[in-house]
Amino acid sequence: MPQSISGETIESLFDYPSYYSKSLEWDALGLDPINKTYPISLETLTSLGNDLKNDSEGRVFLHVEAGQTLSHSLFIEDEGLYILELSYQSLTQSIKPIKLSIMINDEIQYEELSRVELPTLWSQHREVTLDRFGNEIVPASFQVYETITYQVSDSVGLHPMPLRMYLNEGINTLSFNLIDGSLGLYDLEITYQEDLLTYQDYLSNHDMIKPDDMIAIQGEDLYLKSDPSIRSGNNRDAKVTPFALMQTKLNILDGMTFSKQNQAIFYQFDVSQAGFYPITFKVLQNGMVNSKVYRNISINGQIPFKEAMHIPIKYSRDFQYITPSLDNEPLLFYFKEGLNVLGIHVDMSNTLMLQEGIKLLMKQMNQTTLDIQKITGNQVDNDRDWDLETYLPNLGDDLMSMRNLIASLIDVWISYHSDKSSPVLTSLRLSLQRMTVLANEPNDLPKKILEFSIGSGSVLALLGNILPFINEAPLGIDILYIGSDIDDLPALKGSFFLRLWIGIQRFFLSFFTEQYDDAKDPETLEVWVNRGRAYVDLMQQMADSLYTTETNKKVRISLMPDENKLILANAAGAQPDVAMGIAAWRPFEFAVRNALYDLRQFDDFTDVANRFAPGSFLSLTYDNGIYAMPETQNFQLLFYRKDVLNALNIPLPNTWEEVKEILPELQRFGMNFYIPLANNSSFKSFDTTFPFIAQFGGELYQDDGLSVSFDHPNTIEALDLMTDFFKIYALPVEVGSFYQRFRYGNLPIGIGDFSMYVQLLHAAPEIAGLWDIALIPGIEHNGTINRSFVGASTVNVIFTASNKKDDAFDFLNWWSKTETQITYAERLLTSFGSAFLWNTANREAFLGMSFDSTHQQIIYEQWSFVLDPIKVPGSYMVERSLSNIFNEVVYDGVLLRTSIEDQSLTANREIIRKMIEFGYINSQGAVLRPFNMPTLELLASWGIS
Amino acid sequence: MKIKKHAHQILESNTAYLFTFPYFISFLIFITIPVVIGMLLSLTYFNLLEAPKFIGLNNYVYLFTADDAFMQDVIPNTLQFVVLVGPIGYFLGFLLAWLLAQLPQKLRTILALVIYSPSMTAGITMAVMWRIIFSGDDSGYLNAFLLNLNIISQPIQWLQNPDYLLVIMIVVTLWSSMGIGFLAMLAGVLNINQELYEAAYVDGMKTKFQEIFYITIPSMKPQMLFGAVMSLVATFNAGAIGAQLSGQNPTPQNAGQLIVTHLEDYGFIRYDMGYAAAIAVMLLLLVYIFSRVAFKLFGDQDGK
Repeated sequence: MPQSISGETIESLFDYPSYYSKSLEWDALGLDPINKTYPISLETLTSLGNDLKNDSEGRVFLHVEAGQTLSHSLFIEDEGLYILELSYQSLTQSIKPIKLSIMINDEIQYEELSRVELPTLWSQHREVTLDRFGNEIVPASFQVYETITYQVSDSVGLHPMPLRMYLNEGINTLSFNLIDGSLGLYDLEITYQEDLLTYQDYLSNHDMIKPDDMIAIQGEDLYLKSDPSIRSGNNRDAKVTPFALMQTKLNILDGMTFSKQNQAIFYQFDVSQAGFYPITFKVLQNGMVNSKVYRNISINGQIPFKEAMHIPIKYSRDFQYITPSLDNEPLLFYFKEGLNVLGIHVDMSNTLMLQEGIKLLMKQMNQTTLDIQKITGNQVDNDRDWDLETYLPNLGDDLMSMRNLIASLIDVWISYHSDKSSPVLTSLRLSLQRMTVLANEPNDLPKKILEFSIGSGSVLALLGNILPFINEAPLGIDILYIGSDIDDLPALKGSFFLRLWIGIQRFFLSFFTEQYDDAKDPETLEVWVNRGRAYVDLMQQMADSLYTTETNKKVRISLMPDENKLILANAAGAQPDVAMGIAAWRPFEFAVRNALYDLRQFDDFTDVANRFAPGSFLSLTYDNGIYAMPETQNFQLLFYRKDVLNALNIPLPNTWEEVKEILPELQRFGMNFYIPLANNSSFKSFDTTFPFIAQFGGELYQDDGLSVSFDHPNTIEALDLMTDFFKIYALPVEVGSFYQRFRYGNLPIGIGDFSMYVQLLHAAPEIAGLWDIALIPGIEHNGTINRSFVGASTVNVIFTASNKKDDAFDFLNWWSKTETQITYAERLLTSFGSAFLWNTANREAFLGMSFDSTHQQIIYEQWSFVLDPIKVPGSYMVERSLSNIFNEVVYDGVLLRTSIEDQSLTANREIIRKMIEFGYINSQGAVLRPFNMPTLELLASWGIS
Repeated sequence: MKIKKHAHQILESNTAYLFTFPYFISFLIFITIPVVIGMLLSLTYFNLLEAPKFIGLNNYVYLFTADDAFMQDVIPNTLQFVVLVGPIGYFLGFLLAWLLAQLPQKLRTILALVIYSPSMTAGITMAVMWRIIFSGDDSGYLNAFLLNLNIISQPIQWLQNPDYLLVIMIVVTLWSSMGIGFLAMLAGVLNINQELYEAAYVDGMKTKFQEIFYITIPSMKPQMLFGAVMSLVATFNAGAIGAQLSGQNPTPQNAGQLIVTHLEDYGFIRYDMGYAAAIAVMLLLLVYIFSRVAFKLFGDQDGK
C-alpha cells in the first residue's frame, strides 16, 4: 500500500546485473556447462502446505498458487553452469502470464531470474462467426491445458538458448517464488543444454526420402499459439487465399499481432509419407522498413538443427515467398508419418547487442548529466565557459567511448539488417553525428546539455526512441507450403488487369453494400457506439449470444465514428434508442435541451447506479434527474521512476506540501515534477484545474447555481497553489509529452492518466519494472488526505424520442452488470491482446479483471476519490474562465484577485444568459424556478453512494 | 398586350433558360435557400436539438450589446487579419502573376502549379506542417533554429502565446493565398494583346513600370476585380486557421478568434445555432460591404 511507502525511500528492485553481463563474467572465469542431470523429486519440495495431487490420468503433480515459495537443497558434484527444466501444466484461468522468480543460494543471480515467465498455450475457436453484413469476426481464444516441458529462458526473448545458472560444488539451495498465476508442477530437474545438430548431421539421421507430396496450410489456421493476442486479420490483396470481393474475411495471420518477443505459433498437419520436405512461407513483412525480422522453426516441439534458427525475412511492401535455405539450397525438414506440428518462433536475439548497448549508453548518459549538473547547477548561462575537464578528467574519454559504442551499434545493425535507410539506422546515425560533435568539445557540454540528454531531440531521446522499434518484428502469413518447389507455386501478385478488374468491381459494388443502407427494424433496439470496430463487433457478439438468447430481445449495435452525428440524427428524428461510449460532458448539454431520458425514472436505477462511483454522477445530473450512466472510467495516478527517486533518495509525496519539499532536490538535478496543468494546450480543462479546487474543498458555484464562486476562500487557496507551482516553484510550464519525458527520466515523477498507464505497460519495455504508480498527492484536512480527481471518461445514454425506453434500460442494466463487464474485458484481452485493457466504470468488475493486483488495489483506492465537476447551464464558460485565470496569472503576471474578478464577470454573464434561455430566471433576473445543484449528499439521499 | 409580349420573349429565349437551368437549380439549392434559412434562423433561438423558437432581433441585440468577445476581440482581429491578408495577398498575387508571365512557358507552368498548390492542400494538412514548424518545444523547427543561433534561450510557445498567434495565422494564410484569384490574374496578364505594348513603346513608353500601370492593369480590370473579390471572400472565410494552428476553439485568450471561429464556437460548442446564424449574417454583410468597395475600385463603369 502506498501509505507504507510514504516517508521512506522506495526500495530498489532493480539492482541485479543483467544475464548478458553475468555471462561475460562467467566466460571470463572459464566456467563451463556441466553435462549432468539432477532430478528433483516433488516430495522433497518444501512449501506452504500444498499437497501432491493426482490428475485425471493418475500422474502426480504439485499444485502451486501465486505467492507460494518452493525450496529445495541438493548436492551438486561439479561447480559450473546448469539449466533448469520443468514440466508443468498451467492452472491459471486468466490471461496473466505465470511469473516466478528463482533464487539460488538465497540470491537472484541476474535480473532475468527475477521475472521468469512460463509459457502457456492458447488456441482459438474454429467455427467462424459472421456479423450481420457477412464479415468474419475475430474468434475468441481459450487456454489449452497441456503439459509443457520448458527450459527456463529469458522472458524478454533476447537470448535464444535457455538461461544458465551457476551452482557450487556441494549443497545448493534453490527456491522458486510464484509471483503470478498458478500451476501444476509435474517434473523438475537441473540439467544441461544439448548442442543442436548441424544440418549435415540432421540429414544423415534419417533415410533420405523426398516425397512429392505438397501440403498447403492457411496462415490463419493456427493449431496453437503462445499468446492470445496473436490473431488472424484481413488482407484485400487479389491473390490472398481465401479471397472475398466485398466482405471482410479473416484470411491471413495478422503480422502486427505476431511481432513480440517469445511469441510462437504452431500449425498441425497430416503427412502421408515420412521424409524430408522443404518449407515455403508466403509472408508479408511490410512493417519494418528496410530491416529484417527473424524467426526460428521448430518441428514437433524441437528445433531440429542449428540452421533452423535465425531465419531472416527481408522487408517488402508486397507478399513474398520465403524458403529457408542454406547456400541457396532449400533446407529440408524431416516429418514423420501422421500428425506433425510446425512451430514458428519470433527470434529477437539479433537485437541483444543493440538493446544492451543502448541501455548502457542511456545509463551512462544519465550519469554524466547528473555529474555535470552537480557542477554547473541547473541553470546554464550561455556566455559562461566551463573548464569541466579539471573536475571530470575522464569526461572527454567517456564521451568518446560513448560515441564509439554508437558507431559499433551501427555496424551491428547493418550486419543484421541492411544499410538502407530505416528509422533505427537514421536515429543511430543522427545520434552518432551529434555525439561526435559533443565528444569533440567536452567543455561545451553544459551549454549543449539539451542536445545531449534533456531535450526531446537529444542523443538520449534518439536512442530511447529506437527501443520500441527493435522490440517489434511483425510478420504476416498468408499460406505455408510444405514440400513444394518454389517454381511451382502460384504467382505472388495478380496481373495488372486482374487487380484493375477487382478494383472496378469493388468500386461499383460499394454502392450496393448493405453497410450503408441499414434499414431500421421496429422490433430491434438501436444502439450506437462511439468506439473502434473491434470493440463494437465484440459487443454485438456478446449481445447476441448472451443477451438476446436470454431475454429474446434483439439488439443492433452500430459503430458511430463521430459523436456529432448524434446532434444531426436528433435534428432529423433518426436518433438511436441508446448511445454508448460518448464523452461525459455531452449528456448534460443534451439533457438541458430535453433530448435525453432521465434514468431515475426506472425503478431499479438505484441498484444499477451503485455499481459506479457516486462522484461520477455529479456531472451527469441535471435538475434532479440523472441522464447518463458511466461506462468507462479514467484515473489520475502518480507515476514515479523507482530507479531515479531511489538514486536521489527522494520520498514519495502524499500531499502537495510534500511535493514542494522534494522539488528543490529534483530541480538540483535538472529534473522536475509534472502536473497535468502543464500539458501543451493553453486551454486548461476541468480535468486539470478542478481537482485542486475539490481537494481544498472549494466551490465552483454559489448554492443557487446562478453565479460562480471563484472567490470562495478555499477556491482561492487552490488557485493560489496552482499558479504558485509555476510562478514560484518552477514547475515546467509546457510539457509536450509527459510519457516521453518520463521514459527519458527527466520528469521522473508526475501525474498521468489511465492511457499513460497502458502506454507504459506496453510501449516502454526499456523501463519495465523501473516505474510504479501511487495515489496522487492531495490536501490534508484533519489527518485525512483529500486526493480528489476528475475521472470522467465515457457514458451511456437513452434518448427521449426512443419508444423502447424500458428495453433500452434493460440492455444497459445487463451491459453494466459485473459479470458482463468482466466477460467483455476478458474477451477483449483474449481476442486482441493485453493492450486492450478495458477500464470499466463498474467498480466490482474492475476488481475482477486480470490486472496487476497491486496496481489494481492502488487504482481502486484512488477511484474512491473521484469527483467530477458539477455542471450548470453555461459551465463551459466557467471552465474557460478558470483556464483564463490560470493563464493570465502565470503568463501575463496579472494579480490573482484581479483576474478572478474579471473572469467571474464573464462566467456569470454566460450563466445568466443560459439560465434565462432555459427558463430558470427571467430577463430581469427574478428567479422563476430554482436550479437544483447536485451534491454527493443529494445523490446519497437518492440511494446512490 | 405587354404581358403577352413578355411571355413571347421568354419563350423565344427558352433555350437560353434551359442552358442556365442546372446552374440555376444548384445555385438555388446550395446558395440561395441556405442563405435565406440562415437569415431566418438568426431570428430564432435554435439549439440543434429542439425546434427553433422565434425571438425577433434578440440575437442581434446581444451581439452588439453584450458579446464582449465579439466586439473586443473578434471584430478587431478579423479586421486586422483581413486588412493585412487581403491587400498583401492580392498584391502578391498580382506581382507573382506578372513575374510568371515574363518567364518561358514551360517554367511558368511548373512555377504556377507550385505557387498554386498550397491553396489546394486542405487546411488540416497545412496546419500539420505549420504546427511542426511552430511547435512549442525545442523540437519545433523555428525554435530549434533560433536556439541553435542562440537568439533565444528558451523555446517559445508560438501557437499558444497570444502575442504571436495572429501574426502566424497571417503568415500561414498568405502562404496559401495564391488561389483561384492568382490564376485568373495570370490568365489576365497573358491575355493582353502584345501589340498594345509595342504601340506604347512606339509612343515613347520607357520602363516596365509604365508598362504595368498604363497597359497591364487597365487591360486586365475584370481579372483584377475577380481576384480582389475572391481574396476578400477567402480571407473572411479563413477563420478556421486559428483553431487549427492552436488546436483549440476558442483560441488562447481569443488571440486568434475570427468571425468564423466565433461562429463555430457558438454553433457547435455552445449549441446556440440561432446566435451563430446571426454572426453568419454579420459576416455576410461585411463581405458584401468590402466587395462593394472592390467593385468601386476595379469595376468597369458599365459592367457591375
